[in-house]
Order: sequence, then C-alpha cells, then structure tokens
Amino acid sequence: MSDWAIFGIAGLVILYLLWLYNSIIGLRNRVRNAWAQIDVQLKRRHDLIPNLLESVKGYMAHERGIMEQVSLARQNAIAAGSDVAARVTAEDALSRSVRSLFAVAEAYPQLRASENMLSFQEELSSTENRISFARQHYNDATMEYNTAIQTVPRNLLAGLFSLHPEVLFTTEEADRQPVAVKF
Amino acid sequence: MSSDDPVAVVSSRTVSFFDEQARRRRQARWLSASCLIIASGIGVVLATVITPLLLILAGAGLRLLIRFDVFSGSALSALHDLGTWTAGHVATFFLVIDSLDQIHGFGDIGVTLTPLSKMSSLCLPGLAAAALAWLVLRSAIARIGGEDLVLRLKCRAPNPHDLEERQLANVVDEMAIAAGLPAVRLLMIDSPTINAAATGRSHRTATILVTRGLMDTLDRRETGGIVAHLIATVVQGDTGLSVSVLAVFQTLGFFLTLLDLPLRLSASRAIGGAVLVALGIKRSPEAVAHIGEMLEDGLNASSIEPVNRIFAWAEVSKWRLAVIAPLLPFILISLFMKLVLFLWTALLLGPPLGLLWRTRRYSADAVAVQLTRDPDALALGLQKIAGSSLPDGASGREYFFVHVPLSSIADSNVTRRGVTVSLHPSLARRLARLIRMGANSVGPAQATWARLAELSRQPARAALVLGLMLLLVPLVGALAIMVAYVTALIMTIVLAAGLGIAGAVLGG
Repeated sequence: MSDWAIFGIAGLVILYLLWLYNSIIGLRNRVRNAWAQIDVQLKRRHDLIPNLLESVKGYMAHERGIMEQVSLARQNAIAAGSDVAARVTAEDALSRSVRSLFAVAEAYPQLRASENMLSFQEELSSTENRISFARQHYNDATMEYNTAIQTVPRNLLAGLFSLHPEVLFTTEEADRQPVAVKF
Repeated sequence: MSSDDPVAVVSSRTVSFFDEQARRRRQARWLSASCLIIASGIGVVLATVITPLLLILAGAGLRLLIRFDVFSGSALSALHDLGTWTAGHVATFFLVIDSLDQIHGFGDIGVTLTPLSKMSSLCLPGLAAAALAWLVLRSAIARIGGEDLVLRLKCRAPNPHDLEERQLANVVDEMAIAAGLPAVRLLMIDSPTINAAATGRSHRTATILVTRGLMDTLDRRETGGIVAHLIATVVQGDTGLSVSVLAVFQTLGFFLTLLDLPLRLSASRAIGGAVLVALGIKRSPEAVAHIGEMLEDGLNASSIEPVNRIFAWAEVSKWRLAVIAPLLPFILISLFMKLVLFLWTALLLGPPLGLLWRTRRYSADAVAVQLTRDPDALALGLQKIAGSSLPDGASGREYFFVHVPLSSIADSNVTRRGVTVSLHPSLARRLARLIRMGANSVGPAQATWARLAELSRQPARAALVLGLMLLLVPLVGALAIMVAYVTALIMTIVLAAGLGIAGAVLGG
C-alpha cells in the first residue's frame, strides 16, 4: 500500500514539473511570437509607403526632397535586415520622415481634402499604432516571462534548462509620442 | 451633489492595472470555486429526481426486451440486479427517516449521517446523467458560438470603402495586436444605439459587434478603450465561461421540462428539439438557440401555467379528477422541484455567479487599461454609452455587451433572463475603479460611488448604514435555514415517490 502511495506522489510531482516546464516554454514562445509580430507590422509599413508616395506625387511636385528622404529611409530600413540595432535606428528614421511628409502635406489644401490622402493617413497612422502596440505586447510578454523564470519555483527549472531572460524593447522618447493625425 | 470634490476622495489612492488584475483574479478564483460547489449541490438535489427517472426508464426498457424475448436472459438478470439495488436503497431510505425521530437537538444530527452516506451512491446515476446533459448542451451552444446573436442583431461585415468603418476595423486590429491575439472578426450593427459586444466560444472564433451609433459618437481614442475592454473579455475567456453557465441553466431547464412532459405540449417540443440538437440533426444557429430558450423556459415560473389549466379543467366533476389522478405525482414532483431549484438558483447560485461575472468585468476593464495604457479612453467611452440603450434583439444576451444602460434594466421582466441584466456592475463603480487606475476625465456627477467613500466622514450616517446591514444577518440566516429545510423536505418527498414508482416498475 505504501509503495503505491510513493508511486502516486512521485507521479504527481513529475506531472507538476512537466506542467511548470510547459508553462515556461509557452511564455517564451509568446515572447518570440510577439517579436515576430513587430516585424510583421514594420513590413506592413514598408509595403504601404510606395503607394503613398505614388498618390502624393502629382500634388507635391515641388517637395521632391522630402519624398526622396522617405524613399531612402525605407530602403535603409529594408537593407538593415536582421541586424537589430541598425534596424531600430533605420525604422525610427523612417517614422520621422513619414511624419514630416504628412506635416508638409498639410500645406496643400487639395491634397489634405483628397479621399486617397485621408485613407493613406489612416492606414499609416494605424500602422504606427500597430507597431507601438506590438512593441508594448512584446514588452508585456517579456516581462511576464522574465518574472516567471526569475521567481520560485520556475527559476529552478530555468536554471536547469539554462533559459535566460529576454531583453525589453526601449525606444527614443520622441518615438513614444502618439502620431498626430489631423483631418 | 453638495460635496466639495468626490473625485478627489476616491482618487486619493491609486492602483496599477497589474495589481487590479491580480486582485480580480484572486476574487474570481474564490467565486468560481463557490459557484462550482453550489452547482454540484444543485446536481445532488436534481439527482433525487433524475435517478428514479432513469431507473423507471431502464426498468420499462428491460421489461419490453423480456416481453419481446430479445436477450431476455441478460435482461432478466439486469432487472433483478437493478431491483435489489433499488430495494436496498429503499431500505436505507427508511433508516434515514427512522433516524430523524432520534434527533432531539443539533447535537444529534450525526445519527442521520451514517445511513445518509450509504444513500449517497443513489446520486451517482443522476449526477452522471446531469453531467452528460451539461456536456452535450455546452458543446451545442459552443458550436453555434454566438452566431444566433449575430443573426438576431442583423449584423453585417464592415464596408471597406467607408473610411470610418475602415478606421474602426483598424482600431480592432490594433487592439488585437496589443493583446497578442490573431485577427478578430468585426461586424457592424446598423442601430443608432451606442453599444458594443463580444461573442464567440474562444479567441479563435471571437467576434466584436459594434453599433453604427457608437462609431458615429465616439472618437478614435474612446473607441479604442471600448474595443480594448471587449478584446480583454475574449482574452480572459469570458465568452467561454458564459457558454458553460448558460449550459448549466439549460441543463436544469432540460430536466424540469422532462418532468413537464405529461403536463404541457411545449415540453415535448423542447425535449424533441434537444434530442435533435444532441444528435447533430438540427445545426442552424437559430434553431439551436431557440431550443435552448425553450429549455430555459422550463425554469421560469410561467411554465407552471398549464398546471393551473389542468386543475381548472379537473375541478368541474369527479370523473375528470379521476382522469388526472395518475398525473398528480408528476405535477407535485414537478412543482416541488421547480420551487427548490428556483430557491437554489436565485438565492444560492445567483449571488456568487453574479459577483463572478462582475469581477470579470472589472478585470476586463483593468486589462483594457493595460492594452491602451490610457484609463481615460475607456472612462470617456463608457460615459458616452451610459445614456444610450441596447440595440433591438439583444434581450436575453445583455451580458455580452460592454455596458448595460439603466434604461434597458427597467424594460426587462424579472425573469431568469432579466437577472442577467443585473450581472453588470454599475457604471459609477466601474468609473471609480478607472479613476483609481489613473483616469481623470470623469465628471463629479458620474462618480456617485464616491458618496459611499464620503460616509467615512459622517459617523452618524455610517453607523446607521452599518446597523441596517447587521439587521440583514439574522434575515439571511433565517433564509438559509428555510432553504435547507425546504430542500430536505422536498428531496425526501421526491425520493419517496420516485423510488416507490421505480420499485413498482422493477420489482412488480
């Protein structure tokens, strides 16, 4: 009888450890998925920009400089590839140049009223929101994962399987400001 | 409001949304545990009628087999086994009754426990049947996944060429990303009322429903707050919880409707429909939802109406009374079970269930603040919804909406479905919690909850309120004893009648 009790308790302990390990891996995969989500949203912005430039070209013939700047920033961001530090800088530069393009567009009443422009403004500001929400979700998920593997009982398993805390995403102060959208 | 600054009273202490979420999670855990315990108590009460019913059905089936000489050998021995099992329980039942005579005070209650524990195996077939019915009904409700509400509200997909609707779709996508969800479906309700709802059985089939009125009235920031609350509802699995709870009510309704079979025609329609749904023959969301509502009606007081008509018909002459005499046990058992289940669901299950749903609403508000990092977005949005009402076709499923305005509570009848309306916490309390989480856009008129906080500055009034609350304690105690007594009495009567009939069918 006591043998069975020992087997039962051992089985429960093993089940508990399995559950703990799986919960850690689940949290880690959420962090990885959140990171991939940021990439998806950045790519969405890259895809939107050529269309935006195409549709404002007719109205803003005199503002070739700013348009080339946006185009260049986009190419730089794509070129940065998987180098995280360079990518972050390039994407931030792209954010700023797109914002200044919209600021310049304010001076063109026809453009401001155009259906196309309004729609692009909405899509781009939504994309900016998506990027910042994706970053926020990445940070939330990372914080939950880090807290889980640094506190008892999961820290014991994390040490055993050498699971390390993930890095939080920080951005420049200027980039945290919400995008000003005017209609 | 004459007070100097009620908002300041409330917001003197602030909490982070993480602390608020953790607190609500703890509360929800306790409340769901107590709901589970009470629900299993209801299961035991229900088992006293289901087990005899199952025994009668099994006995009748076995007798048919013997009559037509199909597997009559094994049928005979099964009948014999069931008969002795039932006879054994009838014997212990009398032991319990006898032991009741030995009770002369609260200390003697232990005497009944030994025979009672012997009888507990009697509950198992009934509990198993109830659990099975619950699983089948839950999977049926989960399969339609809120599509019945979508159809009733006449929802449509957002128009991609309408800039405002595309903006709304973007807001929903943004919030889904903030919560780490895959894309959530958005549907529009063409109604001038200002409200929004979330349905679906899990985050994979989640649907956000938004009225045109909300889209036209709220700006992008406020819409974001409201949508964040709905996305939080989906992330927390509240839609799945509501499916399970609805299935509990439909299970109770199913067995009460089963008892009503000889009494009203609509009962046979409901049971027949439930069987068709369980077999997967009826699949359309409208049909499944309609049958579910017919089952829920079995719990309502209005389902007693046919009994009145039967008695009115019978009291005219003696031979008519003789005709309905065989129906009397059914009528009595059905009426008693309805009474006791009403007491249990309304007085015992209702409060913790309502509190659980409220806690989850507060928790969803806290998650919404986490998603938007902007408590004012939700606070401003809720204040704009406050004056509006629910769109047509929402009755009975009010709890899916982000806020149930007072005007729709006044309209609804006090039925089981009316109870669901009061499941939502009051707007003032929710705003008070949002203020604690950092919202500062709430006008003083909205934060009426702050008046309770003022009480601490008026000792005389506070003492009066405390005294009134203390008066409630003996009242609640008396109510609990009454419910326990009525339950014990009715369980005894129902068991006696049920086991008597079952014994006759099995042994006779």
